[in-house]
Amino acid sequence: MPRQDQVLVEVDNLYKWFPVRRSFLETLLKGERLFVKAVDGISFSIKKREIYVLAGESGSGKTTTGKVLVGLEKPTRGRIVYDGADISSLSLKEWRRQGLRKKIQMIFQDPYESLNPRQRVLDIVAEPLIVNRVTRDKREIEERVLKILEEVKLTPATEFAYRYPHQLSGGQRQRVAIARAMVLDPEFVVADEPVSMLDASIRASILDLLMYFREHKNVTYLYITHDLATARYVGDRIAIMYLGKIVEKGSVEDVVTNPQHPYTQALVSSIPVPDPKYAREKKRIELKGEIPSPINPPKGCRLHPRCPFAMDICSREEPPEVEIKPGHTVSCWLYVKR
Amino acid sequence: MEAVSVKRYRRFERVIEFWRAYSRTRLGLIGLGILLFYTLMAIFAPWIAPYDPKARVGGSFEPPSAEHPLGTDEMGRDILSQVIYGTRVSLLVGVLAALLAAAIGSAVGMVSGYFGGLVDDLLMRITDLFLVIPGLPFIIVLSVVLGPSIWNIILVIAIISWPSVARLVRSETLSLKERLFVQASRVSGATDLYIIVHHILPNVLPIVAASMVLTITSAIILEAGLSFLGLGDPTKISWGTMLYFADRQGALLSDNPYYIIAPGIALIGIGLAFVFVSYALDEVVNPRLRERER
Repeated sequence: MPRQDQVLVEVDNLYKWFPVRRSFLETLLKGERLFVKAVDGISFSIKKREIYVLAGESGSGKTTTGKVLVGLEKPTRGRIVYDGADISSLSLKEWRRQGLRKKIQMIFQDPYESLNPRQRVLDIVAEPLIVNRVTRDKREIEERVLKILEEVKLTPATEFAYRYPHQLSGGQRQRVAIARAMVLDPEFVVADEPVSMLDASIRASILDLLMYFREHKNVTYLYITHDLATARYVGDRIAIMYLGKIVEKGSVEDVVTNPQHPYTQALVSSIPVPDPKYAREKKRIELKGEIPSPINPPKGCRLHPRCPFAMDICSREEPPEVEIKPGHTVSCWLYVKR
Repeated sequence: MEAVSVKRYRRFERVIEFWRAYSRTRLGLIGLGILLFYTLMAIFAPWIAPYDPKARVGGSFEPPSAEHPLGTDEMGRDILSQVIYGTRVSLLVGVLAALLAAAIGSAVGMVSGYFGGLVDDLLMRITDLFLVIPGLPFIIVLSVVLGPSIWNIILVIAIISWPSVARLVRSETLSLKERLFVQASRVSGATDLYIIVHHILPNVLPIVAASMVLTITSAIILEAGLSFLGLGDPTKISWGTMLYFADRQGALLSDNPYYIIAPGIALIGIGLAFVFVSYALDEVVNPRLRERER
């Protein structure tokens, strides 16, 4: 399949800094403005029909990246190229006018929060059709809603359509959220930790649903997660984020089975293993302390205060990106040959 | 058309749910009962009232009797009939003024809270301006300027009441617009107007409705106050104008003190009823209060 390798989304040196709100007095006393450097210069590209995973702990900037990609936040700097067109500087109005809303959708983490409690499932799922003026015909809207509800396995659809969110379980709510994202037949969907709020027993079925839409509707995903186990289940390629930077990129298989960056190694070794024999054999890498504040991140390599292998240079200079093998890169001084 | 019947049923179910929570509050039921009584009285005034409230049907200041249960006024008009007809004006002024205030306040509050920035600053300063204007003097001056008419009274009361609604709605909007479902709607492609109408408005409406109940009360009292000061509409019978004439004619010292007592009690009754309802609504609408009770 030649189409496989076509790039759909390209993120080039993306920055998103949020100004820190300060009181009037503070602004007077301290001259410089402070920023939360949520995303601090990241680059990656997503191919068509790919599930690209963005992983990292909370506060690493992965959700912010997702919000920038769907146009909820404007990038501070950097380029986002979608299907060959630069969309990074478009205003919200331009987004709509260019029909990007129909192509790019998002699934949110918390299905208890992402559905308006005063709307019925029908109204929630119909909203993208209505606001994008896909059709004005009420019958057609209802038909399309019922069809997508069937597809996300909310059956009988005619019954679920008239329920309110509080009458649904967490998994059913997330299916509604997926139906809302998919009703416009989007090309690219940002899935922000879509299963992290759900019971372990229903995670797989929700993830299977995401893969169903890739198989049948050619949907490309950016899958945001802190959980490498689900990342491995759905993902093709992965980027590991730490404090606004990408520390390692590669195929999910390479990165999870053969992690190079100390941070990735720590993440991988923190996956619980059910077999105690394996668990004992496993080499554990533990990081000291907590993730530092993104307002004033450590100089040099961002991990160096917590890294068990930290060297002198780590605290002075930012590590370059090193290619371990084709398609697998890591940003760490350990792999720089000198 | 099976789908339609399901839809109706679900909508209906929500009303039932609300009613169940509401009917658990005893004060709310009492308040609602009294309000129902007043409302029926206002609607069916021509049939209930024993006499034409403006017609001379007896002697001057007749004490209560079988023909005139609350006696008569200085012109020999029946007090009971006047009180019954007065309900119409009081309710009309109260409800319309509160509706107008709620509409202005909601619009200003939602726009201010949703868009923030310069719009917010501008609208909130205007709101502050209206909030710090001393209410009663302002109302008196305005109603003198606009002239004595029931519509002017409604307008004046709305002008003085909307800022508090605006503040309330703004703060609620501020928290609503950060909610995930609003962001989800934006990703879906909804415009600001669509989000305000479909996501913000339905979620502030219960709070506005609850606050409106209290606005109605203060509007009714204000109307009575204005009329008592002689700024009311002299052509309409309201409890306020009754009090005004009763006071002017020295009713308390006359043979029929009910001329002044009856409209007073009517006012107290309707005020209490609305306050009861507002308490009950607060408990139903505010989930935190509901939890505490359990």
